[in-house]
Amino acid sequence: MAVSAVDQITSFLRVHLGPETAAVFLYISKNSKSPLQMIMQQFRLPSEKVSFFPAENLAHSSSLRLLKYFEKSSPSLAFETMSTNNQVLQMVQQCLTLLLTHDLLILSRRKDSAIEYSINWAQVRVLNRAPAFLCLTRTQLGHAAELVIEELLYSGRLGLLACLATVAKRLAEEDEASSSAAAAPAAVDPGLRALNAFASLLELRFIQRRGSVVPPLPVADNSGCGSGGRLEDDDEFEDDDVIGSSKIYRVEKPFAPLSRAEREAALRHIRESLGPAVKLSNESLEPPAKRPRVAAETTSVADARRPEEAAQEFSANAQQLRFRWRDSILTRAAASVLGAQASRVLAAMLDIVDERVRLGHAQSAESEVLAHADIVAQLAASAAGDARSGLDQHLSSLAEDGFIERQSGAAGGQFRILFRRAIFSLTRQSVAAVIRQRLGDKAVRVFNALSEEPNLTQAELESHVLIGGRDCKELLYRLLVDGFVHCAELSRAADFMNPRPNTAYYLFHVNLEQTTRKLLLNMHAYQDRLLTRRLAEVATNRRLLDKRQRVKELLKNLDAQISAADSAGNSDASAELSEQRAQAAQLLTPPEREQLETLKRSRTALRAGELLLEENIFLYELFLEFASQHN
Amino acid sequence: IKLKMSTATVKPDPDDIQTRLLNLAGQLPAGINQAALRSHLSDLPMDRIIQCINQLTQSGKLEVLQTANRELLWRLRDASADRRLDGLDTKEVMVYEQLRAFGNKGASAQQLQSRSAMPQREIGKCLNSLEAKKLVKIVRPVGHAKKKIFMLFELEPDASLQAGTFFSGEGFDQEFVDVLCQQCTLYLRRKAEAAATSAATTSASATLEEVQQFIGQSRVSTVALSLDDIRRVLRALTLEGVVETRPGPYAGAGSSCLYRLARSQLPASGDFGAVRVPCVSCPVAPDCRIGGEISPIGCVYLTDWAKGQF
Repeated sequence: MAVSAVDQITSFLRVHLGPETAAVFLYISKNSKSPLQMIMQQFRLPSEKVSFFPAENLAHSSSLRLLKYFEKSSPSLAFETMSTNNQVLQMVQQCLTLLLTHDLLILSRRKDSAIEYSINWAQVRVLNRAPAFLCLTRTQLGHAAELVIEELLYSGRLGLLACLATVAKRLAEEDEASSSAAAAPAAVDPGLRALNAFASLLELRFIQRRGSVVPPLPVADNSGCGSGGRLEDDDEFEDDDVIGSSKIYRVEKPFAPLSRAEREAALRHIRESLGPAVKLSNESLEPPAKRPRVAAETTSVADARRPEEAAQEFSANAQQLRFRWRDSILTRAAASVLGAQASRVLAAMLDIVDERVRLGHAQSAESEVLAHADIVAQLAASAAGDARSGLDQHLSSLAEDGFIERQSGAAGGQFRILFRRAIFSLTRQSVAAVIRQRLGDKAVRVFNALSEEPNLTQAELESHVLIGGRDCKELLYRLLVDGFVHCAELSRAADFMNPRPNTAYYLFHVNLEQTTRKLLLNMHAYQDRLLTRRLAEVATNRRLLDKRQRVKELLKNLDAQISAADSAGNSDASAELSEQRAQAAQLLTPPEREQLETLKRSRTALRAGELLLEENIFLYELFLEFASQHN
Repeated sequence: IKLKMSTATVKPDPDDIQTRLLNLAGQLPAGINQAALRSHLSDLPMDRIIQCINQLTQSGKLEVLQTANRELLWRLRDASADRRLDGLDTKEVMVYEQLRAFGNKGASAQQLQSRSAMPQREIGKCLNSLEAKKLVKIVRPVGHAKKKIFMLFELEPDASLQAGTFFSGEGFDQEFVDVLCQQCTLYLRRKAEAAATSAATTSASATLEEVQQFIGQSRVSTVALSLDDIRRVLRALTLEGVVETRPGPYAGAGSSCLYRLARSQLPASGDFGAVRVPCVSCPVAPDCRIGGEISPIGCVYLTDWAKGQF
């Protein structure tokens, strides 16, 4: 795991959850399966009178090590103010609970029934990729859905009401800001927008229902999504001294749609939290009798779940976000090569596959077989109905380029999406693009020639790629140094013992897996550099940014006072305040404004560069995942 | 009465010897060796026979050959034989006939010496004489610029000796290959643009023959390019990602696939954005360290890139 990923998450936790939680995370990250179980046993000490200080009174050295680490890592930790063992225990318990809420911990049980804690690095990657996931959600589902995902990613888990209230409030503030700037009336009410976005995210499995914080139980697998409370056996865990609830809350249908009761409760809560100032849709005010009848089965299920729904929480489904990102990459590649229509056909096929995939479905090399009729129906149902014309031609083009495979020709044909082959092809093109950028077009010829025909000598390669001897030699050696091609030595001597350059054949080939691993490390390093540069620019211009923030707040206050004076009919005060506002607006000098504009452009470019690199990193990780499955 | 017997031997008539030699050569079309001479012309002194053979060789009626065992053979010369060999001495004719046997693969001076019993200096003199008379030429094989291969002047060197169309006297002609690549790309680009602007009947793809015809008409090459040469150029462009191939609807005279400009070359196409980040192609990326002399914080490449990006 790249160092920068740990640093990013640590700083994120420090800001959002407190320095103590960050310290616990950092300690566990450096001591996997750490003896925190000793701390758990520490919690079971019968006497609470044992003073935590001095340290020699502690029975277990591991706890001492943990506490000393806390002392050294951050002097502002709350631990140093505690004087009893129980206070420390409660603080550590609270920190671990917060980390569990964010699915950042994996629990395992040792043979002696002690609990061990490890970091869930897959979830760390998910949080690091949060900007990319938000960008994906905004592109596919809109701004309201992006805000929902943002709340759930950065909060770990949230209840329905809390999440929707926050999102609706943010939407209302944005509407207010845009309406005051553009003098345009507000759109659909924010509460309904938030609720609809939430419902569609749940339907598309971008978010899922979760139980309460997982009690310390052995996990079945490291899927990165959280085990959701499953047990290896069906016995409930009854140890009350262990972190978390002693009772298990199982979610049997994590993607069950929002019930009518949930929707009503949500809208009611939004109205109460936003206040009467925000206009809500009439739908929320209709008496229940006028609402259309819901199917009996859904109603009975909803009524049965109503008491537990209030205790349910929701979290982002990282696996679905990854699948959707993969699908987005494939459709964009198809669009760039084959056009928008073919891309829509592929998107329709991916939607069919998505509907058939269940939670926990592993990354497969090929999809299920899709019938021609299903594709036509999906296109008709989606907004891409015009792609039905010329469907056969688009399917043929997609098959030629290796995105899909025709299984049979009966009844219009049956098709299968070739994920592995498409990702392999895209990875090879990506590596070729990097080579082209670094070494030029002729180097790409050499790379592709060796990819298609491995184990060529230099002389054979020269005749294949039509490059002169000296140039070909130079390119070949530069590719060799950068790790894009590899060399195998074949001795011509009878003894094969002491090969010399003039008695050995040197055969060149491409090992895409090895090259991709090296590029992956490089991409992480580049991303780290862009992040460092961005943070350094913010730090350098911190004074200016703070000044801008203060000026903004001052202007906002003055605007509020001006509007109050206008509404009170006090024109003199309004004029005076307007004058003050004009003066305040000039606090930022033109050079400072220009510097802020340059800073904004630079930060935007750097953040965009980080996202571009993240996409490449994701592609390479997909390739390596498929390659490891194949091996 | 004493009888004086004439002891004077009757000298054979040279014309008779030549006639008998020619008749014998006619009876033995494979050639007359010394054993045949002794058996058929045993009544004649050998020095007279040799003298007549030399006269016949010089007059062009007999030609001298040497077998692999270094045995001399004399054979009737074909009436329609090359008159250019008239005036050559015996050694030169021998060397010439040996080179004729090597055909279009030619032979080096060392090979000629190993075949004949002649010293190296004699062979060198004969080769120089034949080269001056434009009966023999020198060919330098690919990869061995300093080696000399001799062959008959009118013969085309074998493919193993020739470097090919893309080689000039100084070796691989990269400039020529680049020009050919540019012309092929130009032709395919024009086809793609014509297909985009006109009706669907115009195809953006081209066959090998069409590309060859265009190259021939453009006169960028002084030599005629074969289909194989054009195929190699298009193959290099395919490896570069400029051109892509598609299976053709039918097998043409030398091609079974169609060529067209790769879609990544067309406008409004996407690429992988990571290559736009300057770190990917930075020449000092391996030396870049946070806090080092080369660091991202003061990097001018990132500054220029951020300015130009948005």
